[in-house]
Amino acid sequence: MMSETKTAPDPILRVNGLGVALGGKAIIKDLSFDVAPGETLALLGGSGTGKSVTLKAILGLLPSQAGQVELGGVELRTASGRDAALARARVGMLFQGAALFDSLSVWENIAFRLTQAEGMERTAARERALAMLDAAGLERTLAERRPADLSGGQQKRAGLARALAAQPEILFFDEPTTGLDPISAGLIDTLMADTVARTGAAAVMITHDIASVRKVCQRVAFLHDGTIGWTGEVAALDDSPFPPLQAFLTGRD
Amino acid sequence: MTWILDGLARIGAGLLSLLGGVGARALFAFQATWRIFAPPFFPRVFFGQVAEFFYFSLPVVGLTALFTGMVLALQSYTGFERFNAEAAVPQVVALSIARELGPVLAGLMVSGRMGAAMAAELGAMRVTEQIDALSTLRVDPMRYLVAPRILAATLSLPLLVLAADVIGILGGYLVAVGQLGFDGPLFVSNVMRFLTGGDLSSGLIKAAVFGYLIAVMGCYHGFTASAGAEGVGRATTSAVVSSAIAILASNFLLTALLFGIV
Repeated sequence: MMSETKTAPDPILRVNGLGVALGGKAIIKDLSFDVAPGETLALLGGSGTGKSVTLKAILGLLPSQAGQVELGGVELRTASGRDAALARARVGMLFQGAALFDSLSVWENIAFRLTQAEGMERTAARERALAMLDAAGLERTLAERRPADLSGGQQKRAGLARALAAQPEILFFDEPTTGLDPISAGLIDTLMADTVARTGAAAVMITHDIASVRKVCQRVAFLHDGTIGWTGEVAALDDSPFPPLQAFLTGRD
Repeated sequence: MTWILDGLARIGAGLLSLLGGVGARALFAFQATWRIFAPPFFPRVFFGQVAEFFYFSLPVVGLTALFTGMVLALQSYTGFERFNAEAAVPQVVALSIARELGPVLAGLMVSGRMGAAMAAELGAMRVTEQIDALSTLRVDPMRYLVAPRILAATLSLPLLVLAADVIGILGGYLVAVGQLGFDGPLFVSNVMRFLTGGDLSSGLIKAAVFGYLIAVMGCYHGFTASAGAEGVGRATTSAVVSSAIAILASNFLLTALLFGIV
């Protein structure tokens, strides 16, 4: 009788030895981590430790100087522009301030990629956007409003709906609860956790919000001095022997 | 001796910085310009920008042209009166407006209005990560934001200048006929007789170049705005100043080129 062994899925994102310098100063040095489908990894760290820089380098929004970033089997730093763009098409991103386009309505924001990059007809794209509004827990009456008419929490949820509209395989959340009141932050946390569970997508969350990490993530990678200082399960966070992480957790850093 | 070397080093650094700035703008202009001709195109953005450039700029450009034409008629009359050459007022008004004042003043007014608006809008988009968001949504920001603005500005400013030419000459007509006692039909016939297609087209060519420069400067400074409200403010100021300088410098070169003076 053969025993059934459960194998972990291959990571969709592998970062190996990433190095990023800005203005001649090394911000990220030799950073490595990976994320598998259905898993949410928290990239934790204090202000100015390079969390957002890491994310932007992975997305190609900032140049990186060293290492490999493999997304869905494509090495982004050496791939052709077209292959890298196709690989990055698997990504959905929730920005810190939601980054909704002011000049477009909420539904046009959510359907932006569908109408502008994928050539979907506007009526069909609107239907998809309305379904995404439902999934993000927003009322359909908000569809025609401008982003400026929404509260901060609603903007974040609309931003999440936009990130989900093209059914990405990996999601990036950049400080998703920053600037939100505790109730809105809790709603966003629940929404992110439910989204990952429902879609089976991988997710990387950049944050310094420990409560959010405990609620949404399974694994933590703690950024310290431009590299991963400690990595492990969320449950092991408090028992970590890494002093800078303990200082961070107790608010001393 | 050291102070001489320090002075030379400072001059050299300043010159390198200046050339670097010119090179960065030229590269930006090149990258945006080739995207005008390569799909995908964004017609909604383009027509929105045409409306902003032409329709919404028409009142301010029209008023500028009207008063300029009126002042030109008054000034040229008082000058020419000394030589008993008052009859040349219609020709001077028409030629000055069509060749120089129409395109230059329209360009400067539009650079204040649209160049500043583009820098502020794109700058705000940069600091709120909306430009980064475009990239993550598989839309090239240069193609979506910059190329339609440059095309719209290049095509709209000649139309605005054409309108400014008519309004400016109308301003001259109103003063000449209403205040200086000129015969209306004679004023019109003098304008029609002396104003050639070359005068009009030189103004329109200048306008197309000025429109291009305004959009490139506005978009460049917005696109490269640094973080915060201060960065957006600085981008807006820089866009207006640099597009005004670019208009005035290119006006000299274009005048020399179009009228074969050099």
